Amino acid sequence: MLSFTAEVYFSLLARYNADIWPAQIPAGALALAVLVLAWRGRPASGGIIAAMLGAMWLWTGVIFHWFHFATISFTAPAIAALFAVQGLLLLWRGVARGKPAVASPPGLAGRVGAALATGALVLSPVLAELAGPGWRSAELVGVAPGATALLTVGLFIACDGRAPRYLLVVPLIWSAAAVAAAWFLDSPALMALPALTACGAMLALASVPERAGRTGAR
Amino acid sequence: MPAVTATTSIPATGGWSRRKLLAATAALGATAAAGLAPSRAATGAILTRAVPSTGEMLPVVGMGSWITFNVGADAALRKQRVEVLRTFFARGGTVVDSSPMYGTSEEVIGHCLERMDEVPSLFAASKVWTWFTASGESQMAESRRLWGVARFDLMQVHNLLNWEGHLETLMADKAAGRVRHIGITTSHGRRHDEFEAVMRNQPIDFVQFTYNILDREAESRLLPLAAERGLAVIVNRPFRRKGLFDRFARHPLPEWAGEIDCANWAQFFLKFIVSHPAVTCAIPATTRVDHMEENMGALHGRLPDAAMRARMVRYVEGL
Repeated sequence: MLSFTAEVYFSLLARYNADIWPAQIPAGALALAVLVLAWRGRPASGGIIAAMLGAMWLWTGVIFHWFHFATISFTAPAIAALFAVQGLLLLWRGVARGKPAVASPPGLAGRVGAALATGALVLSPVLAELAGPGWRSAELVGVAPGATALLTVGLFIACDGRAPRYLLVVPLIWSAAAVAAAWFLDSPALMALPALTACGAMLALASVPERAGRTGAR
Repeated sequence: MPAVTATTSIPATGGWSRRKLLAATAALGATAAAGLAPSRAATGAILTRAVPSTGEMLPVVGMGSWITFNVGADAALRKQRVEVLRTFFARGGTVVDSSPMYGTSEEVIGHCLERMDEVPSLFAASKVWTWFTASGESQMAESRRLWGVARFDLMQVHNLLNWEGHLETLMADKAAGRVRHIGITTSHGRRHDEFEAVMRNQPIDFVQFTYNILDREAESRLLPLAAERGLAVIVNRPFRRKGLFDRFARHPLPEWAGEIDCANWAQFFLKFIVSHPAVTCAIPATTRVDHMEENMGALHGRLPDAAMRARMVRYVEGL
């Protein structure tokens, strides 16, 4: 049950992007750093990556959902809480435990995960421009839910079984809800990222880890 | 802006039995069939019905704001909504319904009201929607601030949420003159048993629930009970959001729709609802001025009688 239209949501995104500018730049740089660290596959990077992702989920939960999205949606506080929980879990996993690490060298799962994670950086502005209301309304990585969730799930897959599955619970719940919302709003531009996130999360849950021959720490 | 002057009143059903209600349906039809109800072209009169508890006359078509007025801070969309509301008042509407649950709708309604040259007659209806009795007062105060009204004409407990606690507050508010009427709401056919119990046992003025040409569950219990208890009825989801148009708009209106002065599907759906004698008003929501014009057209002309209502149902169910 959504209380707004796609037009209003895109308008909110445009205003949000304007309000937080230039936070998108460090957020994008952070996401890029996460990808580079993940691709290098050093065991020590796992904790740093998790902590960086945790910061993104916390920002998106508090700044986007609580302070902005909540003005048009009564469900936003609940989503904000979910994102905060995921952020805290990632921070705890990254800072306190220093794990998990991504797989190195990357196998098939690693490549799929890397593709999804890379897509998180570029898909949203492209979709917003081509199938939505324009790049100003893009859900950008690190500061908006769609791209942040896709980046997280992509990296989870790249971990190839080395990340705990409870880290998939919130992305799975959110992506299922977001797919339903995009369907209700009849918006392909809003459908793509959560659909990819949901598929990635289910793939990660269903896959058997390829641990043999990997050097990443567990 | 033209003032609302001429009205055609439909009898209120306060305190009527089910048998009287059925008789009223037939009588209403007889009146319509006899051509006694004024056509829009003939008189410009609008159809109104009385609130049973106070006798206040309300136009039978109001305006809802779920989704449609939740436009955030978007200046262009707000400007469009100003025109929608302006058209609503210009065509004789008075009842505007909202809720704190509807995002920025209350704020946007207040924004629009501020920009009206003149508001002939606003019947401001909102809701209290919080788990906690203690926060109900502050939420209602915030609603008054957002709308820019000193008091609400109607305050309803939204979706029965903590109705025991909030009704106590609302009864005290009504006694103190802080609100004129009080009521409860539900939608989508939810919790009708509990809703019915509140209708039977609490001193409320209004009830609001879903009723339309396809969702007619309310005909069996809620509408007769409202008539029996003397409760005004506001009908939400008169178009199943836009579901009725998605399903039927590609089909032609039946030729006999002209017999009840329906020029489009919106009027067909609305006249089905407001011709039920227990209904006080329906509250369609729209984002468009042309759709508002269509909706408000249902305030004029003849209404269907019981036989015509049955024919309307048969027609849409046969499409």
